[in-house]
Amino acid sequence: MSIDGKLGPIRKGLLEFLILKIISADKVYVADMLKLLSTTEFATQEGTLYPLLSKMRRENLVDYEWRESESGPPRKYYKLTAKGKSQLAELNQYWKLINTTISELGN
Amino acid sequence: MNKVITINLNGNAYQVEERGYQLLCEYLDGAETQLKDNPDRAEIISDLEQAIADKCRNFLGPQKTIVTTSEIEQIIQAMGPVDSEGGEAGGSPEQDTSTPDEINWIVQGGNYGFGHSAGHRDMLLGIDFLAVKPEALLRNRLAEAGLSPGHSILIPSASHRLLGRGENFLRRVEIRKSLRQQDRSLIEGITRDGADHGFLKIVEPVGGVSFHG
Repeated sequence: MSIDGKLGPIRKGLLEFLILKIISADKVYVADMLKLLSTTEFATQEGTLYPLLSKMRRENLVDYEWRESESGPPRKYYKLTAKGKSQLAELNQYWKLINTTISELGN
Repeated sequence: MNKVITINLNGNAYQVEERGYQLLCEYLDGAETQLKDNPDRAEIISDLEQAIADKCRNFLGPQKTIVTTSEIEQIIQAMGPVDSEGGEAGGSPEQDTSTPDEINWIVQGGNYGFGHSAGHRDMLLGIDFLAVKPEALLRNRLAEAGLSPGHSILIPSASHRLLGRGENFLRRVEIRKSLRQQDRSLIEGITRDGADHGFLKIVEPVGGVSFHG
């Protein structure tokens, strides 16, 4: 299996973490998220993002509110719930732990 | 010269080349299939349609009012395959093996019927299929099925629009299977599948009905 094939599932697994991070900074709508991710290793598309956001909303990690838009129909702006903030904090902590572990092993 | 179809995406009408319309149907059908077990399917499909509408708008301007097939292909490419749970299950949407004719027939005859207006939200794909010569199409289908204009097609009642999109989708799959399984010559009539939702269904054999096209 190629390196990319091995890293693909990791990227997928981390996407939810990154979405939590993006939304934690500000209320954002999907186009904002896609744009922010587009220049990273985690570039994704609507076909992936909408079902993921829907799942995260079902898990009460995010919620959204409708806002009028000057350039089209109203848009859903996503925000973190209390549970989402708590999960993000846990994930951040775990990510630091993983980083430390990886850094310390084998050197 | 290309045939153009007007569709309604989340309350806005767009004119799309016929092949582009078929590609959109296939994409959204694939999304519906991929999301069939997702409790938020209807909302996700609606979000996807809105995203498609936004992308269509980007291709239009004062001097350009049609979204071409090539542009629809770009839009579908940009949308990407629909994951069932976003980031958990990759893969492309299930391919629809129906022929374009079948899709058209099913969409227009099986779900939409004749009476509709711009801006009305259809519950099949969230798309209204406007003015696609349904009468001629259905007449052709009747002829293929060995029926004369003396036979009948009952038009879906307004109440079918209250149906959930998913439910209509399953009905349509049912019809599609029926079309595949039966020799068309056996299709002797079309009737309404229950008075409560007004959905058309192929039945066999039926006779003595009259065409109201």
